[in-house]
Amino acid sequence: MSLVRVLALKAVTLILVLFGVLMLVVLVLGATGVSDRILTAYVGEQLRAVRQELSQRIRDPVELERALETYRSELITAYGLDRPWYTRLPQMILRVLILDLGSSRTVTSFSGSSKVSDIILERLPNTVALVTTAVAISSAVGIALGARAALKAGSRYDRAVSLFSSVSFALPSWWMGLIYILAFSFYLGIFPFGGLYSTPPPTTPLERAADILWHATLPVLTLVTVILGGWAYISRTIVLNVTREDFVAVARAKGLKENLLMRRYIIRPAAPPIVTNIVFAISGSIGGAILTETVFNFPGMGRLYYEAITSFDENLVIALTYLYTLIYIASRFILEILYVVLDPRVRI
Amino acid sequence: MMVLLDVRNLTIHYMTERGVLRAVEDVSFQLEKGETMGLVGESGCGKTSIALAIMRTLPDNVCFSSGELLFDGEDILAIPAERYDQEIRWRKISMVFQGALNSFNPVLRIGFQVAEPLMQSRKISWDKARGEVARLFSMLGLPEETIWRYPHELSGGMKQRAMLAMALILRPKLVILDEPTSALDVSVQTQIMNLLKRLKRDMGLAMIFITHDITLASDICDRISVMYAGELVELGDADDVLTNPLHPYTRKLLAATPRLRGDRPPEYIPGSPPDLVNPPSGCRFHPRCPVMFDRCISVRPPMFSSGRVKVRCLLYG
Repeated sequence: MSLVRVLALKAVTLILVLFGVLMLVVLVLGATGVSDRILTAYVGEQLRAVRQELSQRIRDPVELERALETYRSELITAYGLDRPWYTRLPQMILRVLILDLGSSRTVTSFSGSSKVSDIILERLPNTVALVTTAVAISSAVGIALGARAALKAGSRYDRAVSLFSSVSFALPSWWMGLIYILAFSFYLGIFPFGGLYSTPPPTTPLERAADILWHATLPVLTLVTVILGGWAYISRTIVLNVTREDFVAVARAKGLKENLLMRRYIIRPAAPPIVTNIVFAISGSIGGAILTETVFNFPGMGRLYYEAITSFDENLVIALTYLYTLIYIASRFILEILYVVLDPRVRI
Repeated sequence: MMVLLDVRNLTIHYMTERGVLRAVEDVSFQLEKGETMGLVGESGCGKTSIALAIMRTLPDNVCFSSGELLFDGEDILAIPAERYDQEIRWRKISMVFQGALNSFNPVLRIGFQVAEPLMQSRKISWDKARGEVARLFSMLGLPEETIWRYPHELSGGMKQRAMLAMALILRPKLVILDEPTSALDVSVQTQIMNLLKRLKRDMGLAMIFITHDITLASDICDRISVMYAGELVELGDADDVLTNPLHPYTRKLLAATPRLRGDRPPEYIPGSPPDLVNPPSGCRFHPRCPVMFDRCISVRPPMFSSGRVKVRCLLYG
């Protein structure tokens, strides 16, 4: 019963976090005047386009100006520029809250749709195939490497893993990507330079899947190379800290078999922080990897966010920010539940 | 009486970054069945190293060790590790570690951790082992439902009792208690000491009681051995050592104990414990000794017998 209360309390806190983030977005866009400037620029742009068109039909300049003026005031009302930002933006937030993401202003999907949900649904699978795959591989391999290094702390293997970790951690992803392109695409010619599909794209679904995999290999390899080290080192530190605990010495003294001791007294107590890393990394991976996606010309979520910001696409920015916050909050809640299972100390 | 544990010339050196650290040097003592011996000395004087040597869980940086540990007449340092694990470890010799507060795995239930040695040695399940744990818990004054508790739900005193239960689960002949009460407040400390005295009486348990608190040792020990800088400096019946201390270090140690009655203020020992990487020449206590004379600097004193007490001091040669 109390457990339900604890989780409910966490849920309320997380919803407050969500509102906090959205409030910040409104403040940043509204109070700084960015939102007004973006919308004014849109109005101006659209008026220019309409002027071209209308000037063909309406010859009289005075008539033309009057028509344009009418159109401008219509646009201003439509965009809500006649109202202050603190009434306009919250409306947008309320709409987004019920997952009505609306449509973007400039960025469109590859099929031409400007519905935000279409754009995101088109990019999301690409990013999952690329970044989530890389995170899954890196965490699995990194945790195994790091845990083994910690259990053999000080050995040659441990020193090799530590060295590799710092090298991997120091490598910039864009540089690693360029090197892989140079080696595997330019010299060896076994992987494509970038993109998502071959031109022309294969027709059968199976071939399409294989084509995406072939195109994703180098970017995945790049990401794994640069994030594996971090995983190995952090896992090593976590496990190493546990091996130095008094209770491990006690378990050893009382003669617990080594494999049991490893499982129950080292890996098990080290699990909660490692699981935290995994959940946050997997959920964070949905945000994409801007640099790697750019180097490999890979249309993922990271580049979408970047494009939305650089083209001042307010709707898209708000929708994406909301989405990422939602993912973060969902993963936090999953963690709270996992912790109840993994760590008796949080059970109240 | 029968000798249970015969420690002969035990020496342990560690390799550290600064050089070889002589943690235990030529320590010999005997422990009889059912007897309690106090191992007293200041922090870092080698008490815990002796305990870890008996448990065969010395850390990896030991670079030299010699001597014999005869348990029931057999050298337990010389037998293969597998045989030690199967016959001696926890079955005949167990230990309550320093800092019981961290001696339990935070994610496993107390009862399960206490039962683990039993489950492993008898190859029985947790369900079958639980009865034995419950019996032991009630003997040690722990409520039966403590079995299902996690470590963070227990007070320090309860954890220490549970730790004792873990040490006693295979009914060993010898329990090493390493500072078993140092993390507890005084009233809980008294409860644990009374419990230990009862165990000693009822189970005929032999104990090595490691402490830096000589008055605490006097409460329970039949015999007391005083260590200084890795060496045994005085060894004898508790009554003899406490009422008529021979070694200058023991004397100063007892004089440093505050008394409730009388107006004698507690004394202190000038200087600080020696660096065991570069121990003083001759007698290791000579730089701090109030009655030091020339030979103390050059001659390492052997153990002399003075009455029933053994003492490592040239005054008694």
